[in-house]
Amino acid sequence: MSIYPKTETEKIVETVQMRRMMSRTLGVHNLSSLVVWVGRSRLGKTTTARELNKRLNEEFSSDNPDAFRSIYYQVGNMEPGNLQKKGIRSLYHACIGPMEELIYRRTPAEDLAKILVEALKVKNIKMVFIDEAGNLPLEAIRGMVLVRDVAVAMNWTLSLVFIGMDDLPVKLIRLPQIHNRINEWCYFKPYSVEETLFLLSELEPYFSNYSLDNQAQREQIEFIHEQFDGTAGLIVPFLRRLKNRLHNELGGVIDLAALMSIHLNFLRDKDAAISDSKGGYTGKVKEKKTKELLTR
Amino acid sequence: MQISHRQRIISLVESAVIFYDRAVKLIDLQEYARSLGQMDLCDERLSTCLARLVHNGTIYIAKQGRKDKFGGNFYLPTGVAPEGYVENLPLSWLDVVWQSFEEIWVNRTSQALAEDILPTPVSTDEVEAYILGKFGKETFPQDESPVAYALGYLCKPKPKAVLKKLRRDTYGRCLWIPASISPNDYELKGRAKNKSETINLLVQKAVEHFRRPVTADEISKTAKFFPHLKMNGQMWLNDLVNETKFSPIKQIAAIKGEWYYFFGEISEEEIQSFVLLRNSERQWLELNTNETLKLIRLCKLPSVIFGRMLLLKENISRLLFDLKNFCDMENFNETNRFSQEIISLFKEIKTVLLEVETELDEMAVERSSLPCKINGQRNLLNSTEITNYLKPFLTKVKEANSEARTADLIGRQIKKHFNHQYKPIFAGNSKENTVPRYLFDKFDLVTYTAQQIGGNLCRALAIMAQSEMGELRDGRFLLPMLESENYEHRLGATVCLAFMQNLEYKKHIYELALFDEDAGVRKIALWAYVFMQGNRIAELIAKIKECETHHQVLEFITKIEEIGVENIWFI
Repeated sequence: MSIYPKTETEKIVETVQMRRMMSRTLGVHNLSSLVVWVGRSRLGKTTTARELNKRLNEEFSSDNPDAFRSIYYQVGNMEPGNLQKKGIRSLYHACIGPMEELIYRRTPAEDLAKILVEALKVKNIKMVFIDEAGNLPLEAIRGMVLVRDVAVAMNWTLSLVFIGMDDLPVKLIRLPQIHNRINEWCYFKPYSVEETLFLLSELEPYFSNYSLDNQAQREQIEFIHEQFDGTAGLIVPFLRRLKNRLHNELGGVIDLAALMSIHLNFLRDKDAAISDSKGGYTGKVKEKKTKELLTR
Repeated sequence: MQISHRQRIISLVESAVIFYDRAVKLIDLQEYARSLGQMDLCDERLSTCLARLVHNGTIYIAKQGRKDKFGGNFYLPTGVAPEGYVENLPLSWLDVVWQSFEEIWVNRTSQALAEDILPTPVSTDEVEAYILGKFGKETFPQDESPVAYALGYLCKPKPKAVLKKLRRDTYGRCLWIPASISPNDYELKGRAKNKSETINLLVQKAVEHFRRPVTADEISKTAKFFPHLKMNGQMWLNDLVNETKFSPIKQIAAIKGEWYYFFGEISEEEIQSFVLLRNSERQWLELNTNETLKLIRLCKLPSVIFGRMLLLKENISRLLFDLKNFCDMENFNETNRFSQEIISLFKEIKTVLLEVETELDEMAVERSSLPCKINGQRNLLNSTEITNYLKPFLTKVKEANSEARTADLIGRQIKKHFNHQYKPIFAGNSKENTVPRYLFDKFDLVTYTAQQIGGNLCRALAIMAQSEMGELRDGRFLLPMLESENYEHRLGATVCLAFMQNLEYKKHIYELALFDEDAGVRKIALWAYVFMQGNRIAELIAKIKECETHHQVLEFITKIEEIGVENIWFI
């Protein structure tokens, strides 16, 4: 038997929240909107964006005049400089490809924006998801908004979806030029108990028969919901840990005690690791213990 | 009891003499009175009063000075003997400089005596620093280079030369010694006596610093670290060339139009090694492999990535081949001073070549449809053709009065290649028979023109093509991409082929414009066909009009018809 875990295809469960966010984003698309997706970490913003991006590109057909392509990418930190131009170049790199340094330096921001829009037209790209947009400086975001404005002027619909946490919303409202162009704020909330049950049942067949009417089952679902505060990104790894032990140690049966044991095990190791790290863990055996061993 | 003004002045002079411990001048008295808060004594009446007191015999002039900042008479009260009060008083700026020089020289000689060596001459800077330290900044007159002028004056034979200047004005900073010193009583330690020695010393220092033959530029840079060897102006370059005829300085070789000089003995074999090393290093730097590899990895078209990698591999191999041949030569001596550098460069290039080869082997591309060697032939134009091409588009080229000016205007944006058939006009050929020294790349020319005059679409596509193709000019690597399932590959290949302006590919583009499944690709293929000045443009447009349903393509046709096919650049 191979030591390696079996390769699995990623399973995306489309939750009500995801569907709602997608629909709200597409709803304002024709206005060439700026859309902001915010919310705590691990709530499914990136998954939703990748899923919507995948669907838009998969369903794209040249015959459909309404169809368009989209791009999803993650931004990193930006070094100081002409941040407006850097923001435009970041979009160009993601949507079109590399841009020669010489051209970048010689071309003013508004021209770069025009060139980018023309290239987007060629590729029929009308939506760009900019993940981790909290990393972007305000000026870089202005550069991106300039591209959107130029696109509108060139009769091209272009929606920019800024996805992030940190100080993104505060940053965006600081400038009225950006703030007033945001046509949709999508706030990702933690999942409710019902949504947690739906997620669990979709991801792990064991939970497919669970009902909130059953007291024992409800306790289990509530325990998972409480422990992870309805955060999908944390529930999924927990499920993976549960699945590993389901057949090996639990005999194929899950109860509240088993769930608690798995989670407490995880928490215990995590706390021990953190406290060791805080206490200046060096990896060496303490002198006292060595002496004890020697005297034994 | 009220004290008279006259009495106050007398007591001021007395106390000032005690305070300064020397005979005092008018300005000393003014300063002293100011420090005591007796401001009323500082006015112009003080000098009149002093003159009266001298006339009366209450005070007397102990020493007479000149009429400059250091000038003025030194006064002492009657009854005070001048001994101990007037010695070492600088009378003028010249006096200050001379005294300072004397003190430096005395220190230097005593130090040299202690070390049993000869004293070294004093530089202008040293005298200046000494005066600054001893008398302060305010002592300096407002004139330009007062120390140098004063020292120069002290060298003049009339009234009497007390100093001797060792170097001429044209050789940077001067060195000074007392006039009475004979040439055998001082030593020019690390300092040149004349121009020739300066150049020799400079080249020697530069060679010691760089540990190899050096260029004139590198010699100049070295001179910055040795101020006493600093050369003024550009004339010294001629002197440097002249020096190579008589001194140990040798003119080794010219590499890319730049002469290298060496000081001391160097064998013919070492010269050969050096030339090869410098040439290889230059070529290696020009290849800029790390940056090129980064850019190649960012490309979208897999077969172009393969082609560009292959091209890079070929370039590196060619460079490595020369180095290997040299190392394998029978007379290659590993002990010569450049051999180790050649070997380390060889190893460095070899490592990168292996990296490129591994990456090439691991690339997932359909190799059967791709050529295994790069076609090195480029579509090259001479400067006349370039000028003719650009004239209709660019006013600055139109106004340029020569082809050389056109090349200047273009700068480095169109890569120029050395024409191997070129022979200098003085090499036995008449001017009419000469071929151009450099040729220009047509792909670069077209993309440059597009960026200069093109509309947004044209510019966007030019940038795309430039980024994709890099240095590759072999269209065969683009053809498989036209059949790719990925629309981006077909689009990218179409754009690149359009800018290559190669007639062979027109047919492929024509078909793409009619039958591609993606409307974006069909639109760009139509643009490309018009841009390449295909001979069936009208026919293609008519056919597209018949069968096309997508609004984008139809709108584009309308735009072309409005603007005219000859103005396709401006879309």
